Amino acid sequence: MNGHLGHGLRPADPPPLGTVAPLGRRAVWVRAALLIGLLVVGLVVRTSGILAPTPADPALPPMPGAAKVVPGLVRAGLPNEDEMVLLRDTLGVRVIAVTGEASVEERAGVKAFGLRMEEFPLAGDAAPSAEQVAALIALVKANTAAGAVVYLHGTSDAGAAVTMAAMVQLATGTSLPDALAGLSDTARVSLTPAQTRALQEVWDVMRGTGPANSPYASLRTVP
Amino acid sequence: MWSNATWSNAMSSNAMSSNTDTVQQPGNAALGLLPRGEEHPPHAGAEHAAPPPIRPRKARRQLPTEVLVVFGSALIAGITMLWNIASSPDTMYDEVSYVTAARNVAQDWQLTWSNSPVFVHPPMSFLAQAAWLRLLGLERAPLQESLVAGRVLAAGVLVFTILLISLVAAYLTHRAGRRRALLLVGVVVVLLATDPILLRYGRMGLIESFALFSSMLTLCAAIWLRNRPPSVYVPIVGLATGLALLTKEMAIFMVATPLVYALLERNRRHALKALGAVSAGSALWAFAFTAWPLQLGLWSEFADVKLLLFKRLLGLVKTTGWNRPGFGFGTFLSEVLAKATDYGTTYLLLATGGLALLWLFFHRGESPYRWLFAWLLTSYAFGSYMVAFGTLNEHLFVYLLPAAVTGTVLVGDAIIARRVASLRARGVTVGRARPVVLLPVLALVALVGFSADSWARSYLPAGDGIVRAAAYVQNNEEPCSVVNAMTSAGAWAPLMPGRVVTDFGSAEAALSHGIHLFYLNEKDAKLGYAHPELPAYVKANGFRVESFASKTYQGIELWSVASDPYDPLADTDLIKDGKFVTTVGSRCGGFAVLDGPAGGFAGGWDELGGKAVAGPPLTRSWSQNGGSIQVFTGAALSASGQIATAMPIVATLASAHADVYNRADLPPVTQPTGSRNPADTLALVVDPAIRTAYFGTADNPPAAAVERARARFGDPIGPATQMGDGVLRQAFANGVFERPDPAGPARLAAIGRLAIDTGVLAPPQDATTPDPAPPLVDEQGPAKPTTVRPFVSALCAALALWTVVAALLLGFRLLRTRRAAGPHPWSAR
Repeated sequence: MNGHLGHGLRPADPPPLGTVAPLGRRAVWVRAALLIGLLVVGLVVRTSGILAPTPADPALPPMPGAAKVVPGLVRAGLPNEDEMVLLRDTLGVRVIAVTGEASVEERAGVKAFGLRMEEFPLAGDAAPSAEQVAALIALVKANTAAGAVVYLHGTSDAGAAVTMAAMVQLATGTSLPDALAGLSDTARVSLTPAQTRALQEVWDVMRGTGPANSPYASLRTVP
Repeated sequence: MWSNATWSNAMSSNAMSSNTDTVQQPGNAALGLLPRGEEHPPHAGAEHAAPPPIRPRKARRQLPTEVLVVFGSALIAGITMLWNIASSPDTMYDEVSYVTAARNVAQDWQLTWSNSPVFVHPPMSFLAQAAWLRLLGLERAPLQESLVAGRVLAAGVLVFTILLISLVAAYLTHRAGRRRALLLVGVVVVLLATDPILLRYGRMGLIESFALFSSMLTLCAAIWLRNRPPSVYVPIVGLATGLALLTKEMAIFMVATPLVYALLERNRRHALKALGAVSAGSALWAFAFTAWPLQLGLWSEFADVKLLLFKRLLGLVKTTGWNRPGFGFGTFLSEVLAKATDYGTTYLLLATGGLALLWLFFHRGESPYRWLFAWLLTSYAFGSYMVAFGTLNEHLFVYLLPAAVTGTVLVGDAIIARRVASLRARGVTVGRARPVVLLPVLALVALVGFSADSWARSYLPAGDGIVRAAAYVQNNEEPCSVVNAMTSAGAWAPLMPGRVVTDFGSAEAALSHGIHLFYLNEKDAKLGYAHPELPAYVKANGFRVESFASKTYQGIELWSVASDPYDPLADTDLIKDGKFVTTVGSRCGGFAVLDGPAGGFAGGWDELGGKAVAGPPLTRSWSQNGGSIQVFTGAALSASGQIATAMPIVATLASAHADVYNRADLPPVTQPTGSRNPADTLALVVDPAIRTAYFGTADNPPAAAVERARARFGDPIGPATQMGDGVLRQAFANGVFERPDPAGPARLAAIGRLAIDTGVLAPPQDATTPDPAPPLVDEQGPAKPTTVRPFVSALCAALALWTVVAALLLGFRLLRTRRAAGPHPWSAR
């Protein structure tokens, strides 16, 4: 055997893998088609988002209890720092609205990530006042005009934030049955009797069936 | 142990199964892995000449070369894996956690690094590490020493893994000439031993080494026993499969290779046998692993963890890796490019391994071809899925590399051989054909050179920044000082026993809890593992205490950030009935401001404007003359069972301690204290910032606001005066307003300390001793049982049962064979 081409390397030796022969033309086409088919399926699966863990509604954050209240206002739980950044960068949230007293840490985090905080002093089991609802609606409108979103959350498990969100919906034209239907079981359970009564009062006011001296009467004039 | 004689003896029984397409050629047994039935088949390819006969007298000379390859491989891999392993690479969360868990197992069988059992990974690698630590007596040594010991074991296991890979490569090349086979095996070893990603994860006490080892052991056993009957194959390969799965479930992709091989072979009997082994291994995993949570009474937790893991594997949940939300495929590509200077050869080998798979896909061949094809297929099917849909993490490339490197080398060799043969067939001279061989050789030299350079840059310098930074804080900071890590506190806390480490995502959030020490590193911010706001704030507002070299993290630094004592968002924790304010060090101590039986100090402090106006507390409240007093930076509050109010101490300070008062640049007192016309008060407060702080508005305040201001701060007792330090100040009966920033708000100047130092107020010793900060919220939840003894018992029981069943199967088979062979000669006699 002649033709050593390198120290210890003799291409004329049997190939290490044994005889490896090219496929016939038909087999090549079949395998190429199989390969292309696999790639296409992969591409379709990836682009379709079947396996993507993103929420069905891209306007909602991937957080427990997330719900869209009205355009420009979303609601969920207390966001941690990562979620604040996610809200800012993917949903365009610029303001965190809090029912109750926010923790010092949350306020510091909000400041760190260039957000703004609006607090609505309110006990967790209480219902918001008409002025607070009107202020939140004004806040949302102002931010929506600037292309920004407001994120609402409460500071306890009780339903103050849920009530606030539902009142905003009622004041902007949603019916009470629809507003309640839009709540998750957890959110609905969190409502206290006082909050449920307050929602009914707002709904009566908006329908024009409430008393003139209702504490929520001013919501009828909210633009 | 790789000598032909040894392996030939060991494998001699393999000849009992026929393999009709092979012919035995003793004398070249491909490093011994080759069972007799397949040694050197006749070379059927028309394009290749028959191999030269190997003369028996040369057989004795083969042993040193093969031994040299074995020891050379071990030496190369040993050097690259173990050199300077104690200080490079830098440690990470996973390694610290895994070694902590192994220490806990070694100490008292508790498989945990938190307060819950480790269900996310199977226990085998932890048990191995625990046994190793016990053997060395390091289970109670400082964690740093256990980390190094864990690394040595993991790296040693990886060295053996590389030898197993070379054994498989030797089998796959057994049809080549001996020298060529050895050369190819050597190339595979060198490429693996210098591969940057294999080194990155093989030099740490992680699971990858053990998972690769058990997977390769399974593959070797499957190749070795491929022609053995199921009664032999299934118990042994099944056991290896089970142990691989009990090391890491992800090994399922690698241990499925024999099944894929059998399918490619279209051999139903072999496929059923391979399926039996995989099933038996899975059953072993299921029995031993699930018995553990059942006995601990934590089945639902186990099921949740495993379901999440399965979803992560499928890509339905992405909590880590480059496919997680916000980290698209573009991020993956950009990160790959960013790391190309370190991992360039790995990426290249992964790419060429993929091309090798593609080449094999469009060819057909014999047994070695099918094994390599099956191995590449399972590896790249897993890899492709992870890249496209799954939880794409860098360390997963470790599982692709053995097949990628072997495929690259062997397919590359096959392509070169075909090319040379083609040139020779066309009559091209040796000299003209030489570049066809030289080019890949040069490419190989370049590859190894690049990897060696990456190795030298990564692992020769000291890079244990985390360990040294942790030791620095332990030795130089107060034991009570809390440090905020940039990403995972879990990587730091075990290295600093007794100290709290946090991982707040922003400096402001950490400061809000009184944490002033920060570990920073360049890597986490660059790669998006940390929010850029954190290092930006720390660097803009703090000073660097110390820096530590770390190639892994591109440098680690310890920073200290002071906070404004009047910042309402700093150093304050909400606690029951009030707030706790950190005033000492990095959450080392402070004072609570409470509403309680002693008085409403929290309410009174808030009434003054809280920390932003009155500053932090200097004491806790103490009883005096039937009431209670608490001193703050800007005021002293007193209460007698109701909301606390500021004490009128300014005039006393100014008159009784005029020298001290004046030296502190406090403003003149020109008015007497006592009742006064509100109009006079309005006339004396003219500075807008002070008016805003005092009345709540810079405009004309309503009468109620004036009365409230007088009740809170007392009447003005002097004019607003620009003091010697350039700060505008004005004395009031209960405090001194100042405006340190001409454009900023006014606040109460620091008269509290002055009142204490001059004896105007005399708190008892214990009232001035700071209290420890309250514990930060523990999110771990209640502790759960974590003993791993039930797993060990279940595994031992399973292995015992396994042995009995295997012996019975073998016994039945021997009996059947004997019966088929006829009566034993002795019995006939």
